[in-house]
Amino acid sequence: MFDKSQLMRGTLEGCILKIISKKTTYGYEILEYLKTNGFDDIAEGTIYPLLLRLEKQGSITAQLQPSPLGPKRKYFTITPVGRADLESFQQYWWNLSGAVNRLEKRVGDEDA
Amino acid sequence: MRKELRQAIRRLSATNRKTLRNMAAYLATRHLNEIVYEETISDLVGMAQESEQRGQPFSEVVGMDFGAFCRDLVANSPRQTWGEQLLEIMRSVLWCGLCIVPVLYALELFLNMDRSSHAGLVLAAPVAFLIKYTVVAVALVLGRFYVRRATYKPQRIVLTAYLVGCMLTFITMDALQSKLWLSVEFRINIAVWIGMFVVLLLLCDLAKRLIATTVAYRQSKNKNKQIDEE
Repeated sequence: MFDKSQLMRGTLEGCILKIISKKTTYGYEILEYLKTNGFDDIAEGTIYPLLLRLEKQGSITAQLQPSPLGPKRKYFTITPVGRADLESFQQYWWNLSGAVNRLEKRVGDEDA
Repeated sequence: MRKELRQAIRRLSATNRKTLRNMAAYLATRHLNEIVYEETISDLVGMAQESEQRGQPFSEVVGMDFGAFCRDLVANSPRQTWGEQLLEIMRSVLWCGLCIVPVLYALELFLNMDRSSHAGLVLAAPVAFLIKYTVVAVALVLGRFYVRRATYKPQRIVLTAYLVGCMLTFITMDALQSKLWLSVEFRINIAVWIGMFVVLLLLCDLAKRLIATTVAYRQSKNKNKQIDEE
């Protein structure tokens, strides 16, 4: 059975960077945005470690702001390093998805 | 843990409170930077509170078993520097030192233990006696650390191993005590002992907090510098 989790993890970081590049946001809001765009199988627990990794590598920065529910909430903003990483991801994604689509079409044509 | 964070944990449901406490115990044994550890726990409490508001179980929010989630967190979080780890070890040793003599004094007071005596606040006993109970105290403290580290392993096995380990340590030290060490007597005033160790512990905590804050501040400053440059 195809292990989609590896493919998911590889693309999620880039998608999260894209969302954060548009505006400063927090974990649950990022999750909602991902879910409305077709990422049905993920939970907040999946993206939270990725947010920590992105912060650790300097792609995003976090600021604590008051939350109505209790402890302060972390809001994430993209950094210049993050913008560069996002650009690399987008470039690589277009190349990869183009290559996979061409392969699908070619093998499909050969079968036909 | 900060007061507001403790209060927030108390407001959670009993199940989520237990889950959070297990997560905190596990993460505390993974040598995460102190500031990052507190922020992570704060984030997890926030996630648990928001999940309760939405009527969602916290396990659904985490999306996987809690052990795997915590391992993911540890893999992606900054760790303590060697200085902080050293201070953490010193802190455990100082806690053992702080507790051992008052405990022995209390035991001597209430049980009139063989080989020891007391006069006012002064405990008198052979050095071998002190070494035996110090080794047992270290085994208890270290064992507790590894029990917390094994939060997501089968608890019956972990707790049995802990109890058996502590008992074996006590039996071994008891057997060795009379055979190996000279009966040189020590006399300790427990008030002086407690005062000395409390001061050392406070200094240790202060130094550790200072290093953790400096490292976290330096990282934050570098990130802000990058944003300003943009």
